[in-house]
Amino acid sequence: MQFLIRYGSFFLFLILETYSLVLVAQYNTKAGEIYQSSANMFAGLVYTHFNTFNKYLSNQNDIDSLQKENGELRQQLETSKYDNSATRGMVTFPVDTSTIRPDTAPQKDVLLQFRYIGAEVINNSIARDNNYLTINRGKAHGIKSGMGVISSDGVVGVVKNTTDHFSQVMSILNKQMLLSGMVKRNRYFGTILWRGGNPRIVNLDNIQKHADIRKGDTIETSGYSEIFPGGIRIGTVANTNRFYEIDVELSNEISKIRYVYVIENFFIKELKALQEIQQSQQRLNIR
Amino acid sequence: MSSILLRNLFRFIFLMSLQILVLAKVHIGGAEFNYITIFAYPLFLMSLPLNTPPVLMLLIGFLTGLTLDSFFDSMGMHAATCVFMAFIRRWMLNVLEPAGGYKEGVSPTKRNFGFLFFVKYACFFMFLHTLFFFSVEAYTFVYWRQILAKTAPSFGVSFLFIMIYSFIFDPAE
Repeated sequence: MQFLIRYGSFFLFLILETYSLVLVAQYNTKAGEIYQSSANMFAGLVYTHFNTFNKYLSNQNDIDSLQKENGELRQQLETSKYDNSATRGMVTFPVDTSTIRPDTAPQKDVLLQFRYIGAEVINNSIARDNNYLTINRGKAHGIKSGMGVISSDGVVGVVKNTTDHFSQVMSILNKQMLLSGMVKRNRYFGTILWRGGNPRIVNLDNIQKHADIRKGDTIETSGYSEIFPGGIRIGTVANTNRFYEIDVELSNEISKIRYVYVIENFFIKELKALQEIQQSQQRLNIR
Repeated sequence: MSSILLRNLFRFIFLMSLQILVLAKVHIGGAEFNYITIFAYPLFLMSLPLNTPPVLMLLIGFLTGLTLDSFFDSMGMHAATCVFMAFIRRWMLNVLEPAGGYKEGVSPTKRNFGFLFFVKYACFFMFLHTLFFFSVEAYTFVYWRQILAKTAPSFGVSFLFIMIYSFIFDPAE
């Protein structure tokens, strides 16, 4: 007992300190996320109230309706659609154009693949190693963990946790974030990642060593992941050297982002199922 | 007794709001050199009364850190730092003890123990706080150059901020 009174605070210190450091290390574990999103409900409410105070000058209703319209227009882009027509790629050459009249040409059978949900950023950070944004849309608006987030200037991040009315988005300025990026000019692709420091610069890694990359090349999403459609701007090549250490200047200024779109992929279940089949086959092959 | 409790509770709310709603949005250095964070909330831990029981001190530190972590999405980083600072505060105050010793039950502020004492105290406290925070953020000392590059300017600006704060408000408790 005497011992506890004398050294109690030291042991409490050890316990709390260890617990905190374990939290930092295991930030990705399930328990951490549960704490994170429930705590963020309160944090989200505080931020929302503070932001309404900030934007009393702007006419919010106009912005909301414009944002909705923008989302709908984005859905009409070629990259948001999935071409379902069976005749695609089956044309035999040479084509006798005189026999094709506009009304008999096969109708393009198109399915909508991507939907865009408008949202507003209510909290943002760029100064840390692992940065996150909070947006004011959540489960109630159809947002799920793993969806991509973009703004009118380019890629922003990926949704990590959601509550009913808010979502936490892992920013592109997060050391844990990996993204597939492609050079627009020649379609060579690599991995986009951030190494900390300058919030305007990310790196393009794992690119083929014979790829021709020049300063000023546009880098965009490859469309090879189920998260983002292809052709969304990431940035431009700011610097490159013969070791293929490529600096990409982001087209998006993350610190100034206010309005974003969350991307829902309607085919995500199919794509995931395909991946699972592939994985199970690999397992069989190993055996 | 209750007035000291109220004062500290008010200071907690004020400094936390300042940190979360104002200072977190301030990015000194612009996009090219984004290393500076202004830390205001350590002043809350610094100003707790001298006779705060060590166990209570640690729990307050832990709670402060967790509150900040839930706002900054920085699981455990602020908690680890605040618990550490709460633990070594007693030792730090022992080292800095003025010649006449401490008065019982007051807070270690500029008004109570003088300008020179407070400069030393704030300097010591803020330096360890920023250094510990950025070390936890990096999680390894391999990046010691980056850690120091972040610590030095953030410490300078935060220290300046706390001195200005203590001149404006100059609290006794």
